[in-house]
Amino acid sequence: MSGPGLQTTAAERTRERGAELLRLALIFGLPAVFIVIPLVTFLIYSFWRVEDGQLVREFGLGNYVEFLRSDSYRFVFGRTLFMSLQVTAINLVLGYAAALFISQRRGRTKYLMVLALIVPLLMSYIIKIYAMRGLLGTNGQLNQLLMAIGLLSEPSDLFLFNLTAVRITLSVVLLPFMILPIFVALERIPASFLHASADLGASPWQTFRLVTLPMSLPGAVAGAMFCYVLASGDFLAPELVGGTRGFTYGRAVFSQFGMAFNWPFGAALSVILLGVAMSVILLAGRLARSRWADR
Amino acid sequence: MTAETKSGRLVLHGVSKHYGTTRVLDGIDLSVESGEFLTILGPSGSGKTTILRMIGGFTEPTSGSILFDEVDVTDVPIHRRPFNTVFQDYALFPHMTVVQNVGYGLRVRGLRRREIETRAHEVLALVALEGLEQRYPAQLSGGQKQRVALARALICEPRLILLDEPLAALDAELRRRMQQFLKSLQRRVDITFIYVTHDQEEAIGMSDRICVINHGVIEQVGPPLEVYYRPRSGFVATFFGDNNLINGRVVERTEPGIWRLETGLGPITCSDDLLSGYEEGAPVTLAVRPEAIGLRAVVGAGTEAGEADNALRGTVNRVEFSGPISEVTVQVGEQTLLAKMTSTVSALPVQPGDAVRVTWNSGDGAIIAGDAEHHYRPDEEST
Amino acid sequence: MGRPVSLVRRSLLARLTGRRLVASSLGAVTGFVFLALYAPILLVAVLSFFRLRRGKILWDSFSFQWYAELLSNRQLAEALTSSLVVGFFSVLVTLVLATLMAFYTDRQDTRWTLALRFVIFLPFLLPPIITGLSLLVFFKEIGLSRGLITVIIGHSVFVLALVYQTILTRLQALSRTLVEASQDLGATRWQTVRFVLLPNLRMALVTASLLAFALSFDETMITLFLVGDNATLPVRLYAMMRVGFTPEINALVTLILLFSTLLTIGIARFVGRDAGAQVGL
Repeated sequence: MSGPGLQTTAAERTRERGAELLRLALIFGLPAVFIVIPLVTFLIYSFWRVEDGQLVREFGLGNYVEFLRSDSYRFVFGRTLFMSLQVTAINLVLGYAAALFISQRRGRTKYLMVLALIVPLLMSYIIKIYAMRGLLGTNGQLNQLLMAIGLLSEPSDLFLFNLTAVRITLSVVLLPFMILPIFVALERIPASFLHASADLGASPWQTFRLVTLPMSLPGAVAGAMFCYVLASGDFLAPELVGGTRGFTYGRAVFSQFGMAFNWPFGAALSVILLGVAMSVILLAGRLARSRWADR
Repeated sequence: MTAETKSGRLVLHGVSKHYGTTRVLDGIDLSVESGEFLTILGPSGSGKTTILRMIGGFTEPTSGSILFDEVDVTDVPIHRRPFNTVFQDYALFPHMTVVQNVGYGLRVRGLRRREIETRAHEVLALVALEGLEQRYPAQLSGGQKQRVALARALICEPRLILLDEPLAALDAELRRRMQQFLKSLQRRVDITFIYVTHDQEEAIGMSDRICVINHGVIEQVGPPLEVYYRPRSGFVATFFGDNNLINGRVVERTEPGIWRLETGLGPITCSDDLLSGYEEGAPVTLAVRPEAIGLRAVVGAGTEAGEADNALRGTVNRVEFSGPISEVTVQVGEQTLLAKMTSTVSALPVQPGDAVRVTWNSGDGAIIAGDAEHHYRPDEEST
Repeated sequence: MGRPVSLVRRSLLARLTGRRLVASSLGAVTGFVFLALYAPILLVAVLSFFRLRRGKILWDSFSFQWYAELLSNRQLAEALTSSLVVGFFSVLVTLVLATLMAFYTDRQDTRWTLALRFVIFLPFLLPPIITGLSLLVFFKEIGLSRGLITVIIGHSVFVLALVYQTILTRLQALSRTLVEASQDLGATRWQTVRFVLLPNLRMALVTASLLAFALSFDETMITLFLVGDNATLPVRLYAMMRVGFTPEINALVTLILLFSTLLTIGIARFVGRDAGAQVGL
């Protein structure tokens, strides 16, 4: 126990310093060991190779060269990035409209709608994909619906086990990630800004274009970032609804750690994905950073 | 401009605002002339901001109408009203520079960029903000933001500018400077200003007329001097600084121009111009400002007549020195009266326990109809 | 002089229809969004009670048969146990660590704290496949074999950012002088934490725990790389789904959905109580 004296004893100081060191070790040490070092290990792995089922720990660019030489990998890579872009674009339009609509509701309605967005967010990812598979199949309810309203005369297999199925599934599954950041950004715009704009003579449309839209842009950027990064790296959705025609880059990576068992090559493929993700995150950071924010 | 042919008068006609059973405003009748500086003054929660918001179009009245130039504008949407507002928190768009903020009103009217910039520079010069055009609001001081908000409202050349406690966020010194600035600016641009505040000094210093409002009802409208010296309600009498309220009854005219009142303190004389329109026997309240009251020590037992119209005997309760003025409370009969006297270095004018004569002239003070009971207490304001 | 502002109102009809059109199309999109989010899930729930023939639901086939069969599935019971164990320890680990980090980084914008924040947010921002892979490779190199421990570490790394942010947000809302007042009154650093900070953080800690547990309970992509013989529930489900549709899966999925819905509503209520109307992620 510390005495009533004003001076700290040597023992107290030692103990304090010990506690402080332990604290720093936990705070900085654990993330370093379990986040930074694994990422670095995995980066190093991408330069090694496998020969006759044995790991060869020698530095080399072989894996990257193989990726660049292989038409099929480059094709799948490009196709996946483009598909992610489509998913992001669709969700940006749908998500912004929905977020705007919800933010204009009041009281309880608004609260319940937001809750209804968060519920699917915390639902098991694969369950949602599984549910989509049921809906999209040849005997699925989407086909039933389209036939019932006369758009189709017989069940179509267009919606399952191809890239369209992956697009639809990812769009649906990632929608809350798009809507919520936009909604939060819209909610943060004080009503007095909208009042001021109208007071100065702006029509509702002008107020939307000149005040609401630019001020909610950081939210849209964040939503688009989540959407793109998650879509481009996903392998569960294509695995479950993509079939053989819906092969994506994420599956290519995943397969290296399963049947192919070529970990270094898989690591290299994911380092390329990591590069894409990091570029998107940095780009989003730059876009969302406002010149006008308090600093 | 088309203003020459039109009156530019704003009229509120029986305007009320109810939220459920809560009456925020009740039957407001108010007329504001073109070019006038009118202050709506009242404590927090009195409904003064609601009036402003209804003129601006942000809140719809439950009943009543608002007319401008004899046209009913009650249902005209915000962006079509020729009024502009300076918001309490300024509401400067954070993602626009100063010049973009100021030019906003012209931009949404489809003016060309060159013209917007020229006009924006002119208005910024008017509020002495040249050189800050490319700053963002976050990089401005409170006073600068205030002037940008003002410039942004001015550039639209509105017929009316609504100011919602625009100086509340500024420190005392800056507030004084901005008061003078606002007043002189208003004279130069010749636009009607409707200014909402809870600060009495601000209202007295700047306004052509003051509209005092309390509990959603207008208590009195008039020039600052009138509202201060001729209050028509107990609230107004006590809202502008201290006042002594003496309840009584009109008795009779004793001599030409002088009336006698019967009060709890005994008979009091009161001059004709205060009492016009009252009948004998009517209950009234006399409000006498503490600075109109004189105190003199009682030397002998006799009365010294002729020095003041009213002279009451009393005993000093308490003397409080506060700089140039000493506040003295005197017990007169059942009532306590407050007097304010200039102090001197050598001595305070009176001591507690002194027997004194309390005097004032029959022409000082104001008469309020009935027994005025509602005294304004500053602590009500915090609710 | 500027253009005179017209007081003339646009025809009421034109104004109403214009605004209505915008509002109703926004409403239609929102309706479509909610339909897309919920229709598949509700369908699964329906199919857990009814039979299906050639895509048509047989409405007279209602039964609890598939729920009954779940009870006798030992693999699923084991998977559920694994998930609960993993969830519990992940929450415990992240709660302690995130609280320490939040205290340390609160109102401190040094190069080190910024770097720390960046690092713990990486697993949250990066595709899960990368977090999973990097941990897999790392564990392989240090010779830690796959099992529940590796899954717990993976989940902790994944949810740390969210738990940290939840606690930090609450901490930043507390007045700075609270800590100073406590110290001024003679409390040691630990006493300040114990008597002043933790009671104020209670709601945030509960919210963060529920959130972390929900995320851990559902996590699949990282887990697939790190799991050993003791599959967690989503991993077991994934294995079953690859084989095909079975009504049994529908029943299980319905139960899990019900559970996550209740959990979410619970979190929302805690968040709501803690922060008033503020909606946190």
